[in-house]
Amino acid sequence: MTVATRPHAAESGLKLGITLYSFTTEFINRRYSFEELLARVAEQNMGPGVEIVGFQSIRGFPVITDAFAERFRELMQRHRLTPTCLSINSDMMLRRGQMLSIEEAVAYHEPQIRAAARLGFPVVRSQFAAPPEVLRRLVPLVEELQIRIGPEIHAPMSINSPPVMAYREMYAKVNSPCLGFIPDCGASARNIPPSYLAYLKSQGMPEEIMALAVNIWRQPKDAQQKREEFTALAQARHVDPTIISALAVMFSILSTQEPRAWLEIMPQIIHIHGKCYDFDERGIETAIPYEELIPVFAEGGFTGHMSTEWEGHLYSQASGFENVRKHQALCRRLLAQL
Amino acid sequence: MDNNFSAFLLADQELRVQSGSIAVHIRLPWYRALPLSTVEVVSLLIDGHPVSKEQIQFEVNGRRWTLADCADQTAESWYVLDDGILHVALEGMKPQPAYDVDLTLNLYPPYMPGFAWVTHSAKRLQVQQ
Repeated sequence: MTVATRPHAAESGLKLGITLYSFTTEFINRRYSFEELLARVAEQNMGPGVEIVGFQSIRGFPVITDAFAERFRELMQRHRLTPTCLSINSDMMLRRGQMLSIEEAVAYHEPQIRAAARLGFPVVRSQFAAPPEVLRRLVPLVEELQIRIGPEIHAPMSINSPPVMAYREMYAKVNSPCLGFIPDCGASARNIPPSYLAYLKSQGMPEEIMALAVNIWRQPKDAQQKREEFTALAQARHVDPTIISALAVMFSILSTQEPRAWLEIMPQIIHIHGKCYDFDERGIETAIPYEELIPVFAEGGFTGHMSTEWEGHLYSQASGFENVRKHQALCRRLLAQL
Repeated sequence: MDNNFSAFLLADQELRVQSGSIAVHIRLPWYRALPLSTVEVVSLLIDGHPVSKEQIQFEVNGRRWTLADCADQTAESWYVLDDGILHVALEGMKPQPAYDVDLTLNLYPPYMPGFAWVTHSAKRLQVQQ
């Protein structure tokens, strides 16, 4: 197979790649090992960028053995792939109902950040579960390791949500080049993926409860508020908890921020999650408007990687490879049109 | 209602009977390793009869815990590629060639405070000879 020529804009500005999270179904069903996934990604020209979730891809994470570190570097070199971002987890509620203290959280993040440096990842994705003070205290470490770190702005959040604002205020005070944000494109959705609604229906989801959730999702309110409103209404109707859980996920994966809103924080964007679910016959993502988002990132002068992050595995057994291919074809087409 | 992990949770078609208990192999219905403290067996029915929590031990990484003790295991991780094993004391149960197993397992992903991921699975599992 010949390698598709990448448009010039992709080389200079936004570069494409994947997160292995896209292949969760293939991985957890033991159909592909970590090494086989990397080989397949390279073979199918889905790089050069490679992002991984530490707690998914690496047994015993955040401990990195010498053997793993060496093997990982070898694989990156052999397949001509580039480590882009290590997704770490801000597991503030390790003990149910009790949050870690700031000190405990700093200690929990530190080995994960060191793991990124060890494996050659220049960017680390953290999460808003950790308050800004945790990252502030990690600034000396990330500066020493030359790592850029930031929480992922993921649905239900927007750039102006209170937790995001708290980080923006801290960033303005600390003013470190190592602090940033990672937008997840699912925070700028226009729709709930039709394949997701079809799946829920096929599982016997009562249509009126589904309609209730979708109508609340569409309202121009804070997303967190919408999830709580849905949960309260569903509980009042004695809806089965597995149904509430299945629908509450909708509010956690997609929200409706205007794409141009990202321009306001563009200089602080260190990496992007190219979230996707499904595609129509023209190759357009049905829920997330890439035809608007890609030009916004270009206009803002973003330089860095977008990891294609297919998340249909939340509700579908479809192939991660096929959907990643569609997303990257769409992005390449849009980049070429810039 | 099932979620996308329901068929996966009780992945095996078989279970094992050993020294007075049955061993049901289960998979972690999530995309990443989680600490045992965030995994909760909400209910287990064998042939339609609820099994009390005291009758169940959970095994992962070659070690076993009572369900009550699992809640404290914040440093013990269940890796996504590994089976966990529910050991269910057979007291009061007749040996049979197959059992109906009905399991509800909650996960509390520790970076999503307040969120519970509820997975339910029901299968008829043959006793492995």
